[in-house]
Amino acid sequence: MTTTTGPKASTVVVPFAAGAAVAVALGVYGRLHDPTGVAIDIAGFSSFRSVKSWLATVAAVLGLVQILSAIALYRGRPGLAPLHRWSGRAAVAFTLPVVAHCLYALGFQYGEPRVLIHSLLGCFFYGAFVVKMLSLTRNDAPRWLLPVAGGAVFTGLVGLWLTSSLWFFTTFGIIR
Amino acid sequence: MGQRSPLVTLAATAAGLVVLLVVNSTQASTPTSAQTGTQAISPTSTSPPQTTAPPTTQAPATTKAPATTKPPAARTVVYAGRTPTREAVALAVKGTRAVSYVCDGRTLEAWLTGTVANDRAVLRSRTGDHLTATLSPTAATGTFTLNGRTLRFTIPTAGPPAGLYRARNSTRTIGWIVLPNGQQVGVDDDGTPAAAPPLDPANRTATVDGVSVTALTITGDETF
Repeated sequence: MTTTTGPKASTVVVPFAAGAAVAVALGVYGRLHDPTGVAIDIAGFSSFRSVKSWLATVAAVLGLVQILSAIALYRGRPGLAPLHRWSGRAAVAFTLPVVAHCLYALGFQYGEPRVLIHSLLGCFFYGAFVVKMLSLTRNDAPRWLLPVAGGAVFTGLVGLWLTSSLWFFTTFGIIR
Repeated sequence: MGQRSPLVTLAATAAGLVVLLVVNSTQASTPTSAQTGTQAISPTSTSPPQTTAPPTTQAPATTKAPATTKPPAARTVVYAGRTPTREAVALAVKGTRAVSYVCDGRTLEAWLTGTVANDRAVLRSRTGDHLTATLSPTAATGTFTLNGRTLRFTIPTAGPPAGLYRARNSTRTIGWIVLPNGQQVGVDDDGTPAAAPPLDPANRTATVDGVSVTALTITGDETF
């Protein structure tokens, strides 16, 4: 892989190592921190779980915008780059209140399959996000790194939505 | 692409997450922060003062150990701590009776009751879990089962406000273990077990679903 003019191995290894470290750190925090079960009440919503389900849905919709704008960028529409960047930042921002509550109040759980998969995907998603961000900072990254990282982030987000919001809406109905 | 803005995005995301976690901790920590620095006065009405000898023994007041004369004394002691895999265990002993609570602070818990003889405690739960322990003046060592696993523990004695608490109303039962370092681990069971809300150990109250509940200090001779 190492050549005199091509990308160095560290261009790939450093983002992946950083992403893996973040993923592991989130999982360890979720496992070691004693969950408190506390949530704040937001007017107009039945419970904080419903708030999270809606926030995650907004993030997932922005994730779709991400995929579509990424495809457009790769097909030669560079004018869409600001849309891609800002929809991505907004998507991650919408996930932050969700993950803060999930980690702090619920912790890393493995009691049922859905919850275990959600916990693992949560760690994976933020690790992949770190990889995606860091892979953008090097001019000499291999061509496959960016789409693979972006695809991993999208896949993680969809999986997270399926194991939480979809479960919530099919269990309790599409309620506020 | 060699840009800096992704690093800015990363930094902003990390900062945002930390801020939200801190906000969450201010929501949750008001009762627990009171325990870490101060010695809260233990609730006096139901908890046996552990530094006063029970009237039936000649044991010195400062120790919790049975005296060398070893009468079948109403030894009153509470042990609390964690297993190596971080489940929390509390064992309250009063004379020949004992109550134990084990939980993982998330969804698994068990209440056990049983007997103590010759420094050996044997307890069972209604769901078939069991716990055995050997008691010493400073620690309890033994094993218990929870959700099909067998776990070992060695836990120290715990003086108030550390100990075992239980609150019960018509819809839920909540158990809390307050560890000697002030941390609380508990499960709130209203049909769907979940992490317990913070307990204010000074007045033994907690708020769950907007309703205030009051916990009893478990001493070891309760039945449930």
